[in-house]
Amino acid sequence: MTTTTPPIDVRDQRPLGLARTFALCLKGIKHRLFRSFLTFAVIVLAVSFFMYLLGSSVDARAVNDGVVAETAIVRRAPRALELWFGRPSTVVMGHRLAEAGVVELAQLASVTGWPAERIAALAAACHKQALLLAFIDDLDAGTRAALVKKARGREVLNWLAEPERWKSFSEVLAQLKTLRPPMPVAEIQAVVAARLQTAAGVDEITTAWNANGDRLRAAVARAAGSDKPEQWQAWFAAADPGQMAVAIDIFGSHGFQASSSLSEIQLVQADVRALRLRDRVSAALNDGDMIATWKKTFLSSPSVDEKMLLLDDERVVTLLGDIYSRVELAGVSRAIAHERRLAELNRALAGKVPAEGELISGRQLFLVTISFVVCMVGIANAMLMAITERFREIATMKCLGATDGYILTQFLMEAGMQGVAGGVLGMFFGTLLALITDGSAYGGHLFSYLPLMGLLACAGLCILAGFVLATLASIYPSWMASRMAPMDAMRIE
Amino acid sequence: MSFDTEAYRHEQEAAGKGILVRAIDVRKTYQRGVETTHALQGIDLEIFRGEYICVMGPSGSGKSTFFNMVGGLDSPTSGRVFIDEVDMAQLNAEELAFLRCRKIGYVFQSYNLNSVMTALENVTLPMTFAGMHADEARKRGMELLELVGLGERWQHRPKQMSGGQQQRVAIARALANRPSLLLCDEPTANLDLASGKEIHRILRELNQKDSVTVICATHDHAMLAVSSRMVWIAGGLIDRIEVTRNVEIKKASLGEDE
Repeated sequence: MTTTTPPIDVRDQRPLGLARTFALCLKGIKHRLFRSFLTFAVIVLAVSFFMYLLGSSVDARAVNDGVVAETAIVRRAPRALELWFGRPSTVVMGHRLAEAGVVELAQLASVTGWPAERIAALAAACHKQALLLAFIDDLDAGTRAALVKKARGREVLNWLAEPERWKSFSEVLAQLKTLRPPMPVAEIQAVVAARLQTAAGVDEITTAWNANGDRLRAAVARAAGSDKPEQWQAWFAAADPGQMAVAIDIFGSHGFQASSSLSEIQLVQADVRALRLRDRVSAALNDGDMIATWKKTFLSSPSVDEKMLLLDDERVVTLLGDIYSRVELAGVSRAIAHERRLAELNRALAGKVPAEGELISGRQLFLVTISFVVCMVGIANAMLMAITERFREIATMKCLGATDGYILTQFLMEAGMQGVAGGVLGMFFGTLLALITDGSAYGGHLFSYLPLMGLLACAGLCILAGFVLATLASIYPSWMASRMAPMDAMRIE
Repeated sequence: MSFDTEAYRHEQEAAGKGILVRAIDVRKTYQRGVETTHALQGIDLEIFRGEYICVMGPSGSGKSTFFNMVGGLDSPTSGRVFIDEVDMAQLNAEELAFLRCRKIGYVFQSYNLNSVMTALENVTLPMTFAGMHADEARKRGMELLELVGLGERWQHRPKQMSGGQQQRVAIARALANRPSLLLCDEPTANLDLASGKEIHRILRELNQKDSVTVICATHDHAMLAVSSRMVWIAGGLIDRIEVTRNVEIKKASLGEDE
């Protein structure tokens, strides 16, 4: 200390850097974190709810993607057989067109020889028609009667084609503001107007498709040496490499280039073999003698499906073992179990998969918003209380040279740190909860589809949410704290 | 003012001691609803550099309000308070923070240490606010703790220390940025006799060795004995001022203040 005090040269107090403020906050935070238990608990609660919804939604999407992919594999063989040997009606062709993707459109073009634009236009028309019909089909009976009276299904289009009915339809539609038609009224009218043209197009393309199919079937009949479709399947399933080359040639020259690569067709062949085996085993189990034996053995009569699931059971192997090998039976049983599992998962998924491009559904978003608002009110309230309790500390800081800005920053930072800590804890609770509930809904299969990256992204989002919530909620309390008078430091309680 | 006080004044001026604090007709009015409280009704006071002033007065006398004015914690309704010829009413919030940080040290009755920080961290806090480098602050903090006899206890938190020790840490903290003025608000009121004595000794040493100007609100007669002047405040006005060496301090003379 100097004996001669220098004269006072008063300047603005320099603001303390963020880094030093942060360092000062860190010193106290481990003591304060759990002292303001209410704030912390509220953040944990809100964030765990958020994480639970996010996690469930991400899980559902991942499981759904897995189920869709596996279902496509299960359906590969039946679909290929239908494509090659089937004779679609105009209705079936209409559905196909309405739902056609890029691959299907290319397939249609190469089979029928139509230009791609024409098929695309027809497919778009079919798609719109299907959307309109589905919209009207899904309406409740009262609304539907008000709009289209008693017309059902495809009749609706013809019904709407009459000018007077159209007028009443469009008027009623304009009045029912809660309805959300899939397209503007002008487009609906266009769809109705184009109905005959669309139908003619579908007819024409069906004829073209089936003409090609007839030629293909004739070629297959020559190769397999039989007119019967069952024999064709058998021929294809049992084809040796030489016959396989013939099959590839036939499918390829009739517009099925996509499915005529060797590896692809071999996969289909294996699937067709499995299907045929399954049919034979099923027929054997349904055989009167077998049922009698079965009844004798199990004293019950489970359905064929149930029996199929028990195919690798030791007792079934003794029943069927002289016809089919143990490995074959186990394979059939596994395939059936797999299909059941997919069906079960589909049921479990109903209503849980968020729409494409949405993280969570609108209703859930509403709930999350409410919970966040409640959380913020709670935090703000708890912090205001904490600040009135800490008046002496704040006032003393000001006596020691803290600026209003420093106090504001310190309290915001403290809240932010609490938010991050609460966010981390809430994220863990939420993830745990989501895994438990989804684990019970989807069984162990959840873990074979578990979307790790998606869950990690959600976890990051949750921690961010905790931080933002706490910081936003503490803006007002922190501002109050920064406005406290330094003379309160002298106050005696 | 008595003749003695006048003489004292001349003495100080002769010794070349400038005026550190000058209060001119300071008035403070609080408006609480319809009720108006006149806490200060015109205080005039000059405090020289290196003085040790004891301020006394019963509660409600305006003593605390006066303290707030001198400490730059509150502004007067009318009148002016100068610290080293700087009019505090002219300062903005940032400048006041600067002044509080570097020029005035505060010692409170209830110590007001930050309970989550160690003794050293408490002492270095004002230096951090002043923008001092952390290592330097640490070094000076240790020196100050040694000065108040707590060099060994730098890691202790307030809860692990006695009241007297906490108040010594608070004094070290008040001295952090070499203030010209030390404002003490009943620093020994919460302490036992021995701890109080220790505080007196430290304050007196600071005043005599290092010429720190001390303004101290107190009822403690032991504290009065070491002061250079005593100021009584009553009813928002200065009641009387005595030069300590002219007064015989007796317990009886304090009766009116208790």
